[in-house]
Amino acid sequence: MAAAPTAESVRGALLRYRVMAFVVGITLLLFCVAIVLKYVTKSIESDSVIAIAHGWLFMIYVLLGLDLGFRMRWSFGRLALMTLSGMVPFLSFYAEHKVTGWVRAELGTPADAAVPAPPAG
Amino acid sequence: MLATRKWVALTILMLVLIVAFGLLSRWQWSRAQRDRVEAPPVAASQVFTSGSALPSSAYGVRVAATGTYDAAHQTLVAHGNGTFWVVTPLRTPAGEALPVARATVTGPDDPAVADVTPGAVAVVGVAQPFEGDPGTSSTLPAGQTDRLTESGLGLPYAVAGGWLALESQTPAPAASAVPVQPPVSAESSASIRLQNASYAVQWLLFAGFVVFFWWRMLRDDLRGADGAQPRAATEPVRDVY
Repeated sequence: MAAAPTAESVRGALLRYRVMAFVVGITLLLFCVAIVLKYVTKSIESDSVIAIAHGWLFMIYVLLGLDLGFRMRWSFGRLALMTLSGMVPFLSFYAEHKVTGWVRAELGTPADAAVPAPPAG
Repeated sequence: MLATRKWVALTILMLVLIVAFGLLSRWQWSRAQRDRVEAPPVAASQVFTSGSALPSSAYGVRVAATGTYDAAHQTLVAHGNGTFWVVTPLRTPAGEALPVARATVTGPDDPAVADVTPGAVAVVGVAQPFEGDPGTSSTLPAGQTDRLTESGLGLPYAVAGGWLALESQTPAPAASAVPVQPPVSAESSASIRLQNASYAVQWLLFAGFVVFFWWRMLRDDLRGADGAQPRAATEPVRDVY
């Protein structure tokens, strides 16, 4: 039974995931604004800076999401949902909220790092 | 104990994802290189050596040369489809001749054939190897050959080990002519599009993640945990408070 997720490790993974979900969500919105500025109003030449930034941040988001998901032993369907929602504007914020809810439901207590951890076990 | 069927399936999934991500990475890499810029020309003396064949590393290199055209030893290379290349030796100051395919024409009467720029010219073209011997059908009229080879040109002086498909010439010819489509296209240096190059690297890293998580699941399984099953179903809640 060694590989069961510990509350400590899940708490850390969840915090990392939530921070990155927020950052990626904001970056994605900025990317959308840049696309509108480039193709609709034609007021900027290139959106590649934000595109590259979003690409790398999204990659980290996927890595952290999978890390959390594997610690929680979630199904592949749930992992795919978490990953793909990071590509949809605004949905990433909802997904982050949802994922936090899943973790809390399964661990039975708020898993935020902000809450002092009671002794495990 | 490992559940064999599950691990066969997971391993196949891993391999499929690696191949898919690898192909996506290659696609992005090709998109990253879609604006290729022309390479600056190099001096003919660095590329061609008279008497020895053009090395394959020089095929397609953009070359600059200066000299004077020898209109008296011009040859038409027949393609058998009604088109010809006009190949005129360029006598370089070093004394050797560099055959330059100046134009594509439809016959010996085409105005581009006689439009040989007199005096000193500077040319830029794409280095090409001679075609393989044998060729030169005897049914062709004098001054024509069916293969662009050193012997087919029949020049009375030393010839470079290859030829140039002309791209531009200074001074320009009197009339514009149909250019020669080089058999080996010009090499170009890629200007990489950072955005697509970045995506290409990321797809490779995603392929790496697949291996990493596959290994992590295997490790968890070997330690006796229940793999991808929902944790709450089978595990004691020793860690949960």
